[in-house]
Amino acid sequence: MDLLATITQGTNFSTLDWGIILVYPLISVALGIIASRYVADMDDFVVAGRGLRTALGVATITGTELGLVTVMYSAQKGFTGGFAAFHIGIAAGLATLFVGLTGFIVAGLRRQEVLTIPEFYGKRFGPRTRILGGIILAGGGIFNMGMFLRAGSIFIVGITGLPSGSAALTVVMLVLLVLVLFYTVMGGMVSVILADYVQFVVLSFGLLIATALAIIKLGWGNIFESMIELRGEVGFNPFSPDGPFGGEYVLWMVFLGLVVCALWPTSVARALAAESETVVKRQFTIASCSYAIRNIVPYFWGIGAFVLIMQTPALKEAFFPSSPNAEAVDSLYALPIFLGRVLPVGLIGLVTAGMIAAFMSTHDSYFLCWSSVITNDIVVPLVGKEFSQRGRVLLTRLLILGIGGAIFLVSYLFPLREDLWDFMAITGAVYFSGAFALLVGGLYWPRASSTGAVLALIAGCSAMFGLVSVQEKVLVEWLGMAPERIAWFTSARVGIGTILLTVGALVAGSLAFPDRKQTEEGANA
Amino acid sequence: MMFWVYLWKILFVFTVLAFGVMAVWVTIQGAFDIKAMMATLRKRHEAQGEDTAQQ
Repeated sequence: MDLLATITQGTNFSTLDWGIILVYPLISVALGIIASRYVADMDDFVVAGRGLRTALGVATITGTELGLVTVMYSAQKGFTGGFAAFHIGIAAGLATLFVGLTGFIVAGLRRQEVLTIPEFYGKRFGPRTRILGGIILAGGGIFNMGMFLRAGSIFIVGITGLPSGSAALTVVMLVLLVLVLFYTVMGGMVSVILADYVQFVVLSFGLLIATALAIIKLGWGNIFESMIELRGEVGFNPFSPDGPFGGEYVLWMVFLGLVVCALWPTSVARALAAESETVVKRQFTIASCSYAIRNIVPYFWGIGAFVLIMQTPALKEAFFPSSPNAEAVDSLYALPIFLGRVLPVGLIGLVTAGMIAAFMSTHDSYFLCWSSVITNDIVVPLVGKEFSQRGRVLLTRLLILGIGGAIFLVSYLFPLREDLWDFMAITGAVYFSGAFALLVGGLYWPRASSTGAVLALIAGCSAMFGLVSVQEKVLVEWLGMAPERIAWFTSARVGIGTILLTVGALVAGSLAFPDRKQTEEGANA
Repeated sequence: MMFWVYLWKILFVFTVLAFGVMAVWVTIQGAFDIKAMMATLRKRHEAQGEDTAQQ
């Protein structure tokens, strides 16, 4: 028996818990069938007829953004960074509060009554920007989803004690994928909202109860004292130069906090589906609490996992082997192993079911988002002829199936070389650094031009250099750079550099090549 | 270092409590919002059906 199989055997997962997680996803399937009766056109399918009110909007934003993958990467950050990682959650909460109070970007987009972000690009900068923006958004977004299945499978292996190399695991992931595809294809945004609401209820209370149990099991004082003893200053101070973060990283996280709520297409989709601008602002103001907690609670679990592992000799040896030749267990396994030992029978099934529902609800929103972008902003403008509403819904449904297949392949083929959170941030930056320049420029700077917009979108693709595997291929293999020098290109430096590059490209391109309409207006003035 | 220890303790307790209150409110009010959303969608379909019939 391998090391991983040995340490996952300590889980409390029982037959009752298996029963709970097998029945629970069927609720989502039933919701998909119910919701399909309410879907008649593209407005119903993509933005639920724009009938979303505040509380349901908060539930669906939380349901989408508090996914299993979020919990996994956040717990990994808490495990490796300690309490210092809390700054990421605080930055996310404050940034969302700012967006809610001011309506920054989201209110302006809702006012435009568009279905997708590239549709706004089209209205503001013309069709070529819309198509290019759509390609970059969908391409970056689908690649960003690439690690979702892998993270989900690690969670299920760790918490249930399933053998990691077995075919059963692949089967479980395929079944989940098929279920999500089924109810998203059936009901579009209406079923996504209903599933998000159910998931919000189960997972919110599951998170709170599991946190209370973790504190009871480990002891509030023990958690802090152990971290002080084991990690010292770097486990608490995010600005510590000896720690894993530092000033640059904190700055990058503040920007990411803003991006995740105001620019990330699945969040923006909720703003576009809201009843009014007032509802959009209220929704984001209240959801600021969710944006903070979706990181902070999993960080705390990651910290709890670290304390438990350091105080259990067999686990400590598995994660931090004393022999330099021994291979350590992936830190992503820390959370499921921790929950499997802390939660009692029954509750562990409910929390796992909630996590699986979270996994599904994140997938459904992403599938819907990328497929509607490909339909509305790439295929329809490229083909150039009018599509019937029925034709658009059918095409979107077929694309959802195609994207499902694509992420299954990426999940198994792409090598993950960094922390999951850093992978997500960098692949997301391919899309959002360009989007930041275009949305802020498009909404708030009248002189922003279409040439500047295209240059900014292209500049955003440079974020790919933040991935270690890309750095090794391009900088070391192709350009002959010494391998130790690529350590300078941290995700924070590449991310901040990309943002500056895109903003610079938009400003320079707009000033050098203004749109004809603006030039004529200037001449007339 | 103790500044950071106290800061994270206070922020953790505050955010968890705030989230607990929000979760209760969203659970109750969200159920009413679902009912309202379904009613809106139903009305849209009825109006669309009438438009099609008139054409």
